[in-house]
Amino acid sequence: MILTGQQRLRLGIMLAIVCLFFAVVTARLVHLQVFKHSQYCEIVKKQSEGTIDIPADRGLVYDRNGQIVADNIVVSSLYAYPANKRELKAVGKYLEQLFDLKAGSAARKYGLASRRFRWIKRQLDDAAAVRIEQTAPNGLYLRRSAHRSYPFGLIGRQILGFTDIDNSGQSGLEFAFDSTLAGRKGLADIRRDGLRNTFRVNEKALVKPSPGRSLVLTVDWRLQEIAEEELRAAVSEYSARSGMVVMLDCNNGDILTMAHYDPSELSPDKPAKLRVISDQFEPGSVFKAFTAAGLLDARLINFEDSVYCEEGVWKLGRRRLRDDKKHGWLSFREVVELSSNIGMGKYAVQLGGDELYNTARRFGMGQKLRIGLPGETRGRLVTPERWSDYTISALAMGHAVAVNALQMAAGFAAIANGGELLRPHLILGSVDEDGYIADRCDRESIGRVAGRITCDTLRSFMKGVVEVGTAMPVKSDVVCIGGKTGTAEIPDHENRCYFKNKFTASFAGFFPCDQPLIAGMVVLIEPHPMHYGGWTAGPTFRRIAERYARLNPDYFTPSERILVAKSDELESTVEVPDLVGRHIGAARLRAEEHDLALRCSDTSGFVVWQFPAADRMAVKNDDILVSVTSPGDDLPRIADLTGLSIREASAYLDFLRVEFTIKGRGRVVKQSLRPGETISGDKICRLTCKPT
Amino acid sequence: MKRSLTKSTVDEGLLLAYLALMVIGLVMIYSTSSILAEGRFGSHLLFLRQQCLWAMLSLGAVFVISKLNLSRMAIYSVPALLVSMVLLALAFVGPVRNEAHRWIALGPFSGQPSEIFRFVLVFFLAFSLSNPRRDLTDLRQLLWPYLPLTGVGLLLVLLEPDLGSTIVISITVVGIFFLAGARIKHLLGAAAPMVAMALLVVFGLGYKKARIMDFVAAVADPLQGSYQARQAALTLGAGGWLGVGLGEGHQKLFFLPYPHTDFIFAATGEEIGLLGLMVILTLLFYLLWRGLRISFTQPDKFGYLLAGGMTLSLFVNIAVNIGVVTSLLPVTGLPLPFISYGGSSLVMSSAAVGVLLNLSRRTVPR
Repeated sequence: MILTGQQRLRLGIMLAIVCLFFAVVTARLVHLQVFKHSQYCEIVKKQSEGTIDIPADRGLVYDRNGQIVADNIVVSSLYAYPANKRELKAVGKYLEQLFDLKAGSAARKYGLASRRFRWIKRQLDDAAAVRIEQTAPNGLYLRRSAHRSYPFGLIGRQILGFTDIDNSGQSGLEFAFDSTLAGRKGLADIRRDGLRNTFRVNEKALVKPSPGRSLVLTVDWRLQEIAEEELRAAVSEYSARSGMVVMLDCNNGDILTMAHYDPSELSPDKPAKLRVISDQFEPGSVFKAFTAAGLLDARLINFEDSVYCEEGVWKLGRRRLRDDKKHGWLSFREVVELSSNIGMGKYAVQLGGDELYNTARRFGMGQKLRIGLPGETRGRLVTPERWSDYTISALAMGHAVAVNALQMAAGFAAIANGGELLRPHLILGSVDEDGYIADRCDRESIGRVAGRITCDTLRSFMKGVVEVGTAMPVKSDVVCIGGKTGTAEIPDHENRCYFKNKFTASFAGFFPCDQPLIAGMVVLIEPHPMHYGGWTAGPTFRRIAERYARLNPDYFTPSERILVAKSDELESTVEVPDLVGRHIGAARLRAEEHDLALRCSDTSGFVVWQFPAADRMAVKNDDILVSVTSPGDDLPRIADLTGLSIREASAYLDFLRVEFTIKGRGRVVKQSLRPGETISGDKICRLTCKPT
Repeated sequence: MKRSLTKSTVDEGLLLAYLALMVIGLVMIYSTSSILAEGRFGSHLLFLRQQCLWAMLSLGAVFVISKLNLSRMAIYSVPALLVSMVLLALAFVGPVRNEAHRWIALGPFSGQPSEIFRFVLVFFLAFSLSNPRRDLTDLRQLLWPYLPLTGVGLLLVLLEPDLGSTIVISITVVGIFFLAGARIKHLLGAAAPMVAMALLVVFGLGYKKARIMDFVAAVADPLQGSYQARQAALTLGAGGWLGVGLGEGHQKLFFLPYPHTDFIFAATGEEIGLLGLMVILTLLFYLLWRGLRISFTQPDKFGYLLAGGMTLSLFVNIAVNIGVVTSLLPVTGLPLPFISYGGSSLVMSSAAVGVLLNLSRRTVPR
């Protein structure tokens, strides 16, 4: 059979339809694939391609001994991305089990939803991460990222600062040197698939990340540890509000330790500032070292001369300048050693305002040291044109000027090294690719503060401060320490006067005396009731110095380390005999042999404590304070404290473990516990003092 | 004069085009499915291996079918049709995939009974309509028994639900009646209520209305279409003239849905570009043209209808699939014959080719 015409026609129509279809499809394909090509390519690219940052390794931080003090660790963070309802359910259930939540509460707590990204917990510890990785259902994943870790915990954190959760520096060194440490992020091509999974197309990065540079600090973390420990102990021992410590290598300006401690500080792991460089205070008598340097440099001092210290009160216009202790005629050396405000004030008047101001400027007062950390203050030093009559003597004794602890330490370092003010620095250098220290920060001189001879003289004076002066508790058998104490009233800005009972106690000094290596300062804010710099900040300085000297026997050669040299023989000083264990009568006789008097109301019993301690130096005719217990009577009796300075009285009461309060200033005129009264646990001795 | 002559050789061009398409299909299935297979089943060769098995089975089917005496076997199409409808019904108790009952499983193999139904239906119609006693100009003879038979089958397919197959089968059936000589007005008369019904369902009841509206927008600008249409167009567009390279396509990574089955044409277009698609289209066109040519040279009405019907069935399937991929038709799930992954589609399309090859040996005496 041959096809009919109709069948041929219908087959033809069929063929035409097929042809038509192919023509239409071809046209459509040309339209889509040729004319729309570039536009569609763009869209496809946008929906599937992208770049991601490749984080650069953050630079490490080493201390001067090569110890890593800021390290990087990889931490895992847990996030949820359930793909569907089933996964969502499983994730919720798992989290409830993991974190002991109520059944059904996880979804709300974490805001879980299908195809929604949610952080669950960031920075898991390793064990938890491994466990979760092994047991987590689909929809819960771990993301790894590098994060900062500080192997020494909180030690030195105020210097280092901290990084936020994205590893960028927020304070301290981490903030100041963020760009150095952070390095440069790299970029990589990624592709995304329709399920929003990302993957790398090729391993080659578009821009290679360049790791941050590692830094080497001048800080010795062992000293930092010692300093922080001692500071903490001091703040609690002396009931201070807070404290600061800073130590420098006085020959090159390396900062060896900087720390503050404030028990009320919130989140010490995220320190906002380093008070050593940011907090300003009136230094008080420690400043006298600078005044003295100015005086000595101006050759205004004849060592034979004496100055009359007005028996404790000097009227200066409307104001009165007071000493802590009545002094008559004192040599310049004694003025420094005994820290007479009046003596120093009188000398300062001789020096003149401009010269005193210039001296203070030379020591860096009122200027930033620019050590490179955020928050550094410049202090405050008013120019002489704006001074009142009183300002010159106030400045001479360290008031009317505001400083930070680092400025003072740098000034003392200058005295210690022979007169050169060095810029303190924190960075020893950075680490190059081969692990060597590059970009070494060299010793940088800011200028000369005083002549070499002046500095030698001052060092000798300051050795005397420790040996016979206001800082006798600083005297150490391990290392010879020289320095100057300060007990400054804290200004009450509201009432434009000074608080009568709030003090900044400080000690600035250096060690070892003969060839100083380290200079530093310890400051305690509002210690009480004992508030003298020589009795609070001083011993703290000593303990830090001793522990550091023991730690570095090579650093301190034996002759420097062991204190053998006696203090300069002074006519007026005598060695204090050891009275402990003697009968009171024998003790009295022995004291008289040494030209010293004994202060004690008892007539029988044995000496259990004395002040000053044996082998210390005392000024002739001074009192030795002793505590006596009679046999069979455990309870000690209180001595007559009238006429004693607050320092002496409080040392005595401290020894007896009697709580006490001090009212007024100057010398004790009244005591609430009568002399001879036995002391029991809860009695409080209220001392009333008056300036004499 | 002999009624018919039997050549010893089949249509070699048709065979070659078929083989070429199948090879291209295997390559593209591997390219588009390996990542999916690796991710979902842990073996990148999984889909390729499956399809190779189906391909071997298909080649066997082509060989066997091309050797059969189809005129004699045509009588068995009646019980075969009933069996295929039973299989359609069985699909409702079979496994659910993509929220539809389209599959029945037989051991490791699973297949879509709608494909079998389509093949058998074409066979049955060619057999039945070629009966010289049947007068197709008579409306009653046109409707009985075809309307109830195809109606029940189509209803089952529609309920699976498989709208794509329903449409393909419907158009194929109408086309075969057209080739068989039914009156145009009868065909239009039968088509009119179906179209009316479809419009009512879509616009009156809102069934898949969104999809239809998406489609209307997508014809002009594919980016305005549904997600699938949009991604298919983007995939094609990203290919350009020469494509991004075999295996380099990116849209198959979970942007383009079903990149190895329903949308393999788009994924292919991305990787081998317009020129590659032109090769495929040329092969498909050549295959269909040979099919129509074989129909044209048949010595009897049975061969004419069978070759025409098989070609038509393939054509409608191809046209709907490519139409969907190029946003010329609304989105509906249907594999591309010879190319897409899927056993029943490949085997039944191959069976159709086998029938055409068989018929190509029958020639008209000159």
